[in-house]
Amino acid sequence: MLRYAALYLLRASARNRARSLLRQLRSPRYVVALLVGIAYLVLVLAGPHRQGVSPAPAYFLQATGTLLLVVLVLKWWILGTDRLALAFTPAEVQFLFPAPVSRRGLLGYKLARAQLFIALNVLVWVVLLRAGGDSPLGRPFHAVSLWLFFTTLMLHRLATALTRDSVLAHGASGLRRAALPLAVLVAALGTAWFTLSNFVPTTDNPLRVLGEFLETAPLKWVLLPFRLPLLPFGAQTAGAWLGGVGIGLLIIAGHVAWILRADHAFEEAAVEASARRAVRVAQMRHQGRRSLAPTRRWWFPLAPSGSPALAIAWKNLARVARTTSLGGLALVALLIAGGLVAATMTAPHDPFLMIMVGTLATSWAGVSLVFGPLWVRADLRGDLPHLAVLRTWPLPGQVVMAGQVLGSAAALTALQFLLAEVGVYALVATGQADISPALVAALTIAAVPVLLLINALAIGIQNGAALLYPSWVQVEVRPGGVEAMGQQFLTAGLALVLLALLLLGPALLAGLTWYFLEARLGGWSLVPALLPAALGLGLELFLLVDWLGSRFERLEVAAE
Amino acid sequence: MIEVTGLTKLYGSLTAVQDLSFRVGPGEILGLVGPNGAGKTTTLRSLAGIIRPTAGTLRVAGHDLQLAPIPAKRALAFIPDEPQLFDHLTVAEHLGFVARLYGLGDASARSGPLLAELELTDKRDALATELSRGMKQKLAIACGLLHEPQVLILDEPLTGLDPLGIRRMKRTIRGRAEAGAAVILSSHLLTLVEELCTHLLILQGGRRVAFGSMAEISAGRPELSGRGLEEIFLSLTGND
Repeated sequence: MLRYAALYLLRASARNRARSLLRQLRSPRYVVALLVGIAYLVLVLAGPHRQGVSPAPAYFLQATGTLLLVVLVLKWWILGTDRLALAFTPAEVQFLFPAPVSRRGLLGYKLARAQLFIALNVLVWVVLLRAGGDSPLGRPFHAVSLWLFFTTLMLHRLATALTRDSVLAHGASGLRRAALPLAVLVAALGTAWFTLSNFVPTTDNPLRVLGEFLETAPLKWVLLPFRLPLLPFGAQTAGAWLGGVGIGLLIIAGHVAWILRADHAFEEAAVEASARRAVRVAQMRHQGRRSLAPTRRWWFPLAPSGSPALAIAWKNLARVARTTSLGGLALVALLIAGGLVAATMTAPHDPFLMIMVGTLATSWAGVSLVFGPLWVRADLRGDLPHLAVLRTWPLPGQVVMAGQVLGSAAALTALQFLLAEVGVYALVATGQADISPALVAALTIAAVPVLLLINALAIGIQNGAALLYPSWVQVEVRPGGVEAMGQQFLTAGLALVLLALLLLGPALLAGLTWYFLEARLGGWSLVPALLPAALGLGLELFLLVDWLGSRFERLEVAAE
Repeated sequence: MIEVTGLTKLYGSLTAVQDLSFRVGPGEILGLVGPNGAGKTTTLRSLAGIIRPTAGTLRVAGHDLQLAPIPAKRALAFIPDEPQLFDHLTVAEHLGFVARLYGLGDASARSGPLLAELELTDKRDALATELSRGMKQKLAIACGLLHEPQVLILDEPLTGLDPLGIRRMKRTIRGRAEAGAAVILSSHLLTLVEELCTHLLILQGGRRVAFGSMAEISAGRPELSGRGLEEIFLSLTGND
């Protein structure tokens, strides 16, 4: 019964998606987006094959694949999967769980539905990423191997989630829940240590050494369960491949039996996991990619009085602060600081590390100047779900848009400033840039407002796109489909062209000033050259924000 | 306080509201009712300045919403049926933010009693995401009331509130009206409308079916005299 209902659900959903797409295509902008998306796919599919890149050797793939599986499985068993493996969509929970459907039926539905995504993944790997092009048996065989591998991963993750939940339901928690996997890990590490103590490599190639080590008994027997799902990938003949696939199918059958016999109340765990996923999806859709930390302190309280535009920027920066991983930030800061310290210590003997740090920092500053406005979305793009509220504020559209643009621009400028400072320090320290410290300081001070204005212009353009075509940019969880891909290419490409056009005038002004002053001031001419550039950028930004404001006031919220 | 004259709103070929006129004076509570798709939300959103009317004039506290939107918006508060909060701000930060938007200066003197009135004091440092549906609704109401609006527009204000919250919310609405605010309350809960509202506006198909006090409406249709709002509503909307 559920089989027919599930098939009907899939068929109807696909049909309605197609109809919705066709309806959208009545609008020329969607036609253009679809054409761009198709053109990209055609280019990727029919484009020249990768040449000059030698395929990774089989022993390397086997070794890294085995290690990857070990890490994944240990993570799931010891730290736990995030239980989202058990999750259904809210609609599935509402309709399927109260329906007269057996637990086995629900699980079957879940597994069958997962096959759709696995098939899509296999398609992406084989067709778009051209995986398996170097396989002696060809891509179709590789596709089946990938399907087996992904299915095994999915089933094992599901089984792990169910088993861990079952252990929890039986009263074990924390370390006790992970006791058995931890014991297995300790035993495996002991085996690895024992193997290592008797291991004599036959080659100098570190990758081959790793491969040999993993193939040495007794470690090879411990790793056998992780090697089995990878057997089809390494098969050189059809017979060997068939053997590997047979083993893979047996593993899958074992997992299915394991899952179906799991004694824990699957429905309960699934409903809980589904609720968590729904919350996470809602947060991503409305507020950004990350879920929020519980009441993380925001160290910059809002002053009771002042410009409403600054209050809007403050609100958006609070969002950045509360949705950015502090651990990730600390790690990046630690890496940068550690890199700088190490580079400073080694620079007198060997400037390589310092040059690398400098080059990395400056190139990332440059990359963030171009792509940062697409990544940092602490502006109207993040506020689109609240457009109705924004429209009730007693503020001119220009003030609202100025506040929106300022938040993202300030965050981006702070990041670029730090990167540029690290880069300049490294390049000056190694003599790669022949600039006096006084000039560096002057340029740094003069460049900040210019950088802020450039970022504000770039963010303003992105916000303009959001105002003109909110449905193209509003969803943090990106809409799927070829037309959505085309939309992203179009908006990003047009925004970059527009920014380049806007930068032309100020760049020309700066260039002319520098040209006339260079003979008299030398390198110092760069500092006054930034002034007319800043004025030009400021004027452009004023006009852009004015336009954005009037556009915001005319926006038909309900229609969009 | 609220004057709507000839309000018309078209969405493409669809007429959501057509030639709607009504007035709400200080201290009056207007109940806006109608079947689904009658144009209630469009009317409320037009009055809140969220959408632009196709035709007609909307005056809020003496200000034309089209010609002088900022003073008009400064005088009004719109509380939608689904609270629209910023997930990354706490309860107290929401109020501080709204105070800045409305130029209230230091709003702590106002926000304290408001939080107490709406039972949010204990939650002042909680993020919006950590609040229950009812608490979110209360926070949205607190944000709306912070600047002491002369015009209060409420769309299904009791959704998600517990019985005590409902009682307090009714008291709050009445209190604001008694203090001189003009209130529009849209709800499908006809008992609530009957209990709170001094006037009634019934919409159907984007048009005004009835407007006035219960007595005035009954006076125009003697056969409805002495009947409850539910019967009047069903009779006037042709569903009796």
